[in-house]
Amino acid sequence: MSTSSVRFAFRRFWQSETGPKTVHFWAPTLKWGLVFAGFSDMKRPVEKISGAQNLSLLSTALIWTRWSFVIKPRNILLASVNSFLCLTAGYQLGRIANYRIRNGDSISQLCSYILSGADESKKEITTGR
Amino acid sequence: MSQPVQRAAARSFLQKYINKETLKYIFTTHFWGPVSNFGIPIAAIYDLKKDPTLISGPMTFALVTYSGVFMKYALSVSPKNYLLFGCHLINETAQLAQGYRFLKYTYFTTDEEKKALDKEWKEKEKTGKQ
Repeated sequence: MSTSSVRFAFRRFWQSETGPKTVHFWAPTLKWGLVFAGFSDMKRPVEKISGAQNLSLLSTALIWTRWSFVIKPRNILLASVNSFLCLTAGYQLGRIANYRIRNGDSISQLCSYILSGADESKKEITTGR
Repeated sequence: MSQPVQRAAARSFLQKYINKETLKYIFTTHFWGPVSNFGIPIAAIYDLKKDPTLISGPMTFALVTYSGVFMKYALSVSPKNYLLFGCHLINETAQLAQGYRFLKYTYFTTDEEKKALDKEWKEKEKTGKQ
């Protein structure tokens, strides 16, 4: 490949209306930060994971993966980052569900734990409801 | 006002707000994409009432940066997506509040204060009081 064609390709990328000089490039790119943050959260103890946050990340990742194929042109970068976000958030929710059910929670108690944290779940247990 | 005129007025009102364009917008991901994003700030607002040790520093930092850029992004696309902008504005505010709580607990609290706080949160969990 000649140097002039390399230079041309780079100039084309740089000048593109969705290239790195525009927010259209950086917006999907920064969403990768959520994926890497999700990876680092996998080292946290399971009782310190926020169920509500991971549930919201999972639902938004699912819908945005679909959205990335609807827009014209299709944004495969955005679709891939949302797919990974879906995997990390889903895994975290799986950890929470496994932990709570192994501790004797029913399904409804698990759901209230994910949404509201320990307070409501423990409250139900102590009052015998 | 006569009945036919009232009926005509009602019909034109409905036609103004419930037309093909509006229904098409509501049933596409152009609407549900931003709407689903509201789950993130809602979850963050829920978490503001919980134990600060639940806050993940890396995730909060990532969300603050992400929402800041997406506010700009929402105004750059054609047409402008004010729903997406509003969603990320709320999220930016909520995540900055979470970031403040995280930094305060992690770096600006003495060990004795941490023990007292942890004990306090455990007590709340036991009694179910908030």
